[in-house]
Amino acid sequence: MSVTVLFYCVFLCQIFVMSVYYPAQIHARISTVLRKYPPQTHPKFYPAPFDKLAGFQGARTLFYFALINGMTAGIGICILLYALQAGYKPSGNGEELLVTIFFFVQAAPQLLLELSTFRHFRKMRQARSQSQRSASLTPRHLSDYAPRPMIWMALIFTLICISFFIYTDLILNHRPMSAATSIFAVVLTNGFFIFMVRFFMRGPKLDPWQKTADRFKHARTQIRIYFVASIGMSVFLFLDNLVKLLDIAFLQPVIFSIFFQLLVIFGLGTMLRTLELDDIDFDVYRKGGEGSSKAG
Amino acid sequence: MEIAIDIDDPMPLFAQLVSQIKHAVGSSALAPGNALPSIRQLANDLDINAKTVAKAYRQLERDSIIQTRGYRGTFVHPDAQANCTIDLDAIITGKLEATIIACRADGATDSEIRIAFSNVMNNKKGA
Repeated sequence: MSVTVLFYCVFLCQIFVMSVYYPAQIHARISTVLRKYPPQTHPKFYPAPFDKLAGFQGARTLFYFALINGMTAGIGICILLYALQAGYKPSGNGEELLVTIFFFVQAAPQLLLELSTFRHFRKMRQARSQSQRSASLTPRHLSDYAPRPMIWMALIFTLICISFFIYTDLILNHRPMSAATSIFAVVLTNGFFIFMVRFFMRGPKLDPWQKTADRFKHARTQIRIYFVASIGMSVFLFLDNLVKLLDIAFLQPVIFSIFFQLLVIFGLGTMLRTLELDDIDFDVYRKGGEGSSKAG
Repeated sequence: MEIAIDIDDPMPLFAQLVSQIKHAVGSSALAPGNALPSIRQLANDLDINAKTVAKAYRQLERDSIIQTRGYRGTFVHPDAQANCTIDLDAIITGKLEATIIACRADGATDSEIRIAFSNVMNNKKGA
């Protein structure tokens, strides 16, 4: 009974966090940027076709963003009400798949927004006519971005996770395919994290006008998020295998939902908290503004 | 320490990089033993081809301004400050001028000197 109540509470929380709270924060942030830094004063921030964002097109885009998130929240509430009416109880028969699918549906608007941001930066780079380029002669090291204990923790947790898979799937249950799949998933995900960390540390500059300090802060936040995600994923996979081993798989939907929420809180939430709009130098986007040659 | 290049400048990009780094060493902004960014990092930051940065680093290494210590990275050479005042181009030009003057004094024509120079450069024997 308590697990059932817990599942309903956690799923309701997932609906709120993913489809209401953070989308509202993103919506407010974009609205503030469009209002405080319009194309008239900050033209470099609005390369075509983004120059129409501050007007009707921007309002329409934000409306669709809010509408899609609202609809997703509605779908979530409907699922929850249907489950309540049907007297659903978590039983560990693969319901975590539904939680996962719903998470990806909820994350879709944010992912589309992220892709749009990459397109925005590409247009900014293409629109740049500045021939002056500058760079720092200081090498960047991983320890400049993430504290050493965090790096070691991510590494140790990954190794513990892999060792656990080897022990439970290979030695204890003699399921080599299961062990190989789990280890492959861990290695692949961590490989992606490593790629992204390298990209933010030494990769090309996404925003051509961004100040060195802002770029460093942004990269540091992103890199820390990837380390936290790596640690979180190891803990999650460890717990997921543990509940299967202890025959309490009915807890899986709850664990999946909590994991996804923590991923968003520590990922998107940290980004929004750390990179405050007031701390970002928007003067670089002014016409002839400083920082036009600030790469680094 | 920041360096700046101008992609519209008629001076080649690698030469601008060499000049900027030599200037940084000469003005003590970069001290011997200081680490330099990797080729990829610098190329990405300046939004230029990595081969251009690699060419600049090779030239600086040849002139003993920087040194590569395997996987540890690239560092400013211990004798960089003394070496960055040496103009290798001027030395080569001076030596070639002296040789050409000597050849002319021996009666060689400019055409013969050019052919001989070309053959020597191509590792061929005799003129």
